[in-house]
Amino acid sequence: MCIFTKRAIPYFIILISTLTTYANPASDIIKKANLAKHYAGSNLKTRIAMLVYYEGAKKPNKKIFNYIKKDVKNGGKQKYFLYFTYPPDIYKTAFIVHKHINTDDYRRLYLPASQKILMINGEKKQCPFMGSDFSAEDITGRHEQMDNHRILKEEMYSVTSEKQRLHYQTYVIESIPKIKEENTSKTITWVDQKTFLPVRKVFYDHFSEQYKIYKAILIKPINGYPTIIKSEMLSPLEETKTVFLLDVKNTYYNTDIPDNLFEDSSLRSPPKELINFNQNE
Amino acid sequence: MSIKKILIGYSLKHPKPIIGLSFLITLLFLVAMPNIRTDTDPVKMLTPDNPAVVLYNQMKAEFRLSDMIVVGIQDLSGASLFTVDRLRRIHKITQDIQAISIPPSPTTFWTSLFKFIQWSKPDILLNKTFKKLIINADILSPSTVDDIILNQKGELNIAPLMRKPPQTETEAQNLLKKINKNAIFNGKLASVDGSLIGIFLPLVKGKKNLSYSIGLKIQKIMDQNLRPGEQYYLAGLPIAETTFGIEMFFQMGIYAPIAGVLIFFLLFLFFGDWRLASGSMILAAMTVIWAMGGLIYSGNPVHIMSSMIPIFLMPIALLDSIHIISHLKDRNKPIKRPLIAIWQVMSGLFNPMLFTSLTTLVGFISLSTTGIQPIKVFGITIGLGVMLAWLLSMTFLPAYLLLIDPSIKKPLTIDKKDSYYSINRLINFFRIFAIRFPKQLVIASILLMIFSLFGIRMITINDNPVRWFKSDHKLRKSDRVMNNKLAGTYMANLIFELQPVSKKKSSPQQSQNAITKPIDFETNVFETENLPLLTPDLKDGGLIRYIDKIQSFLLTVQDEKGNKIVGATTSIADFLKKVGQTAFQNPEIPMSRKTIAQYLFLYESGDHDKGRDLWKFITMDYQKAQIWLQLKNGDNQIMNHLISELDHYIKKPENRSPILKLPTGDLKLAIKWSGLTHINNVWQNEMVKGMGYALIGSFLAVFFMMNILFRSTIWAIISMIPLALSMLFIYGFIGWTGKYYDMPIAVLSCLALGLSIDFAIHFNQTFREFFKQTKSFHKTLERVFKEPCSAISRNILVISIGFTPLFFAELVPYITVGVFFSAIILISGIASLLLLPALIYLLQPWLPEMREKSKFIR
Repeated sequence: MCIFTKRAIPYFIILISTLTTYANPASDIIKKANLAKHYAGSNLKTRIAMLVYYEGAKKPNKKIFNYIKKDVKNGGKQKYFLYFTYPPDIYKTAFIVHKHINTDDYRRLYLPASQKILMINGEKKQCPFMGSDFSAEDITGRHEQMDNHRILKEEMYSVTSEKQRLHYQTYVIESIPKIKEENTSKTITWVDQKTFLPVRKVFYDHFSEQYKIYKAILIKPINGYPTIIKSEMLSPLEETKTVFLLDVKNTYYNTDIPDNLFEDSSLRSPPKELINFNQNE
Repeated sequence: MSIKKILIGYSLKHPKPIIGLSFLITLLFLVAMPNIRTDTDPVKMLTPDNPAVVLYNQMKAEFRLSDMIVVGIQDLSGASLFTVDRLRRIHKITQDIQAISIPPSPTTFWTSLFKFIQWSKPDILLNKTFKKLIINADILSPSTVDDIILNQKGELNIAPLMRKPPQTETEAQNLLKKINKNAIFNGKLASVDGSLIGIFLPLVKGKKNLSYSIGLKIQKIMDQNLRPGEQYYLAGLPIAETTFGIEMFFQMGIYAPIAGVLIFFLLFLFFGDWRLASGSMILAAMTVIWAMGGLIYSGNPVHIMSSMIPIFLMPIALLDSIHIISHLKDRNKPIKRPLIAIWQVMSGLFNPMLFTSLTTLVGFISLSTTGIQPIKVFGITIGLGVMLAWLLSMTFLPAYLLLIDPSIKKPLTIDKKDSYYSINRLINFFRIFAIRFPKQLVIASILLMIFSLFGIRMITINDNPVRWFKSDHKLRKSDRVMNNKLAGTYMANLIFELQPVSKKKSSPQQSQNAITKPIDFETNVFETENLPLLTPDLKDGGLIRYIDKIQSFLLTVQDEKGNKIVGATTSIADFLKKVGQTAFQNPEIPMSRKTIAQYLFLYESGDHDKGRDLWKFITMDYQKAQIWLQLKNGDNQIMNHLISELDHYIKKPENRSPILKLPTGDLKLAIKWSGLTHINNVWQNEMVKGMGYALIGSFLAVFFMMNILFRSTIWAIISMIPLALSMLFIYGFIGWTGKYYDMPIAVLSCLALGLSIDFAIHFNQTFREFFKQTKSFHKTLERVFKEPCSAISRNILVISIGFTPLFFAELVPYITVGVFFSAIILISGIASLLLLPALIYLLQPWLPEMREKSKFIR
């Protein structure tokens, strides 16, 4: 109906830019990075621990959830199912997201205490994910056509991980949103030339201050796919930091995941075999 | 004796090296001047280990609270600001304010040293200096604050209230309705009629001292965006403090030199010679520079009290030199050998001068026994300054006098100097009056004392940093407008914490900080089975409802005039109610722990700012919660009243904390006050108590010293009486006039004690010396009322007139100090000149040296 609303404009731009396909190496790298990070395998089943550190707090705010993802189209639509197991107070809380490229996401949240499914607005893709420093977009990916990309340089990037020094030969790519965004004026991404995984990403706000810094700390191949096991996002201005940890023992690519898992009906009682993980394998 | 010979004798033998050395040391202290820093933070009033300060800092860290500047935009005609055009401009203003940044000052050796020191601080997250000054995510304004809504599709959305300015007038008006309906925004973001909009700006840690510059930037933004008929205001303690700091510098820079010029003029009038007058002035200036330089070298910042050090020290430093020069000049015959004349005068005055300096030192040092940091610094600096002045009077002054000997050779010709002559006539009148009506004087004193004691009972102790500005100052004006229209600009916090009912077991507290001491939370992160399933916390319907109950009580508290004290309160209960109402159409606070947890989870996960608003009201481990109170008035009296009302309320059995029954032991809620307004209260109470002890302590110390000096208790008592009377009178007078007893007034008591005793020391000492020679009361008194008393009266005039420039100062504490100090000195001076002769006259039969003689007189 209202295809001419302002919100539709970015999607138009994507459409037009996709039509006028011209070879941009920077854009290509970002596309490959997107595929490597967000579309590895046709589906993924894992368990994630999310730790949000606040300056001044005694302990990080910890949440553990099962994370099941299925690609509908490689590089396009995806469906997510999240099932919270920790803290005990929110045990059985479940969340589904249908990620759309051209329209708002579809989001539903089930709260077991009130036994109610809540419709959550899916417009805000740059907003924080579950109270963390990551945005929904940081977790589910941002389409490469939303930004103008440019290779700044190639450089050796080093990071300390598990007391080891890791070195990556990277492309350094600057991305500027085609449509002015609320928070981000530009990002700079360091993409590993071997795996094409982004190993570092810096977000600049409109005052050219670094407001978010992403780091992939540990990368391991799982089922043959290089997978980011540990990553962190630092918000220096707000003095918070979020660490994402994948449960390596319980990470599987390309298993059998039925489509109906991502329907509203499965929020209340998801299939047991999908949500119960083997603790001590 | 030997000290006297060493100091004065050496200086008279080698005047030039002494003067050169003095100037050299002065230069050394002058170098320190550019490094001066001011600090007017009320938290610094208390020592860092004071429990109230510890709690306050802990609360600020745990709830991530910041100091706030409050900006108000008002329509002067009272019309609503909620129109499309105005909201668009206010939205623009908010965005511009968000962008305010001040580039860090260029790196010099000192700043890099400072940074190096800062670097070692355990700020692992924040190891970079930001240009930004305001925590944008925490700004409270219609454009930034998060609201929970259901959109047309029925989807839950947590987004800024006014993400974009409204397009139609109805939308604009609806925005005001939304604000008025929401307990979290109500009275904060806008006044009920919409004629005033508030923007609360939390400052980045460590940037508070830039508040004044932020204020200037806001002014520029407002000038660009506001139209005629619209007015903006700035309020909040950070603005008041930094503005005060800057104005303080001006006042110090203006009034200390003016006082100096005035005193120089007076001295010139007394001595009739500019070289003698400038000798005293150079001495005073050197004392001030040494003392201030020492203060800066010691690393102490200049606080409101310490900024008055030059003004206090200058007249005090002059006292000894005025005595010396007066005695030299009041001789009738010309001086033939200056060296001997100076030696004679100075050795005669050595004891009284040493003791007057020591008593002044005691008066000021006694200030250091108070728990108030700036008063301590002030007391010690001036105390040491007084001793420096004494040292310079013993060394620099004789050397200087010897070098300019021609001008001291001439005596003062009394007839020529009219002003001098009339002073002498006046003090002679005092003498005659005192001896004619001694009994009446004593009776009048007793009556005055009774009158004063009644006044002292009426003293109200009250202070508020905003009151340090005159009532027509623009900060006072914005304070009035904002607190009238909005909920309040004075912040206080009420902290709730779980505590065992029986105090046998201490609650397990981990005091380790995840940020400063990185504990490994990340290995074995998935092994949660071993953890106790439920640690007791505040996610309990009964506890949260109790917090809500306290909130509603706080809102009903009124002051004596029937005005509301608390304008608004916010707590976690408001968030739960709001979530319940929007998502489940049920505004009740849920009872079950899981429901509460999931409400909070819903808010956190949907929030634009990671749910950080929540963590300002409850800690992430749910062990502590706080109510944020906005008070309409920052006076201590008001805060005291509120505290006692709440104490009274929670003592009633029906209002006691609910008890969380657990197998490990029952828990209840403990309540503690904190926040800046409360901190102000704490240091006020501390000050009053401390000053009381300091005053009694120094009174006893001075009395003890008088006993040593005069070797007679009765003489010591005589010395103390005029001083005690004038102090009682001044404080009684304060009580009668209803002026609030605040910090400057409290400090003055000890100063008055230390200074007024000088008059009695000089008077009694010379009286006793002359009496030994003349053996006649009347002859002695006549002599005492010549040289010594004219020196005393000159000192009274110099100090009381020296402080008069302060009457015209812009800041209230300066005016208070000026007025009361002049008054104290004048009153105690007159009291000394009248009561001392009267008392000595009446007490003759009991005074040791007059005992035999008195029989003849009677």
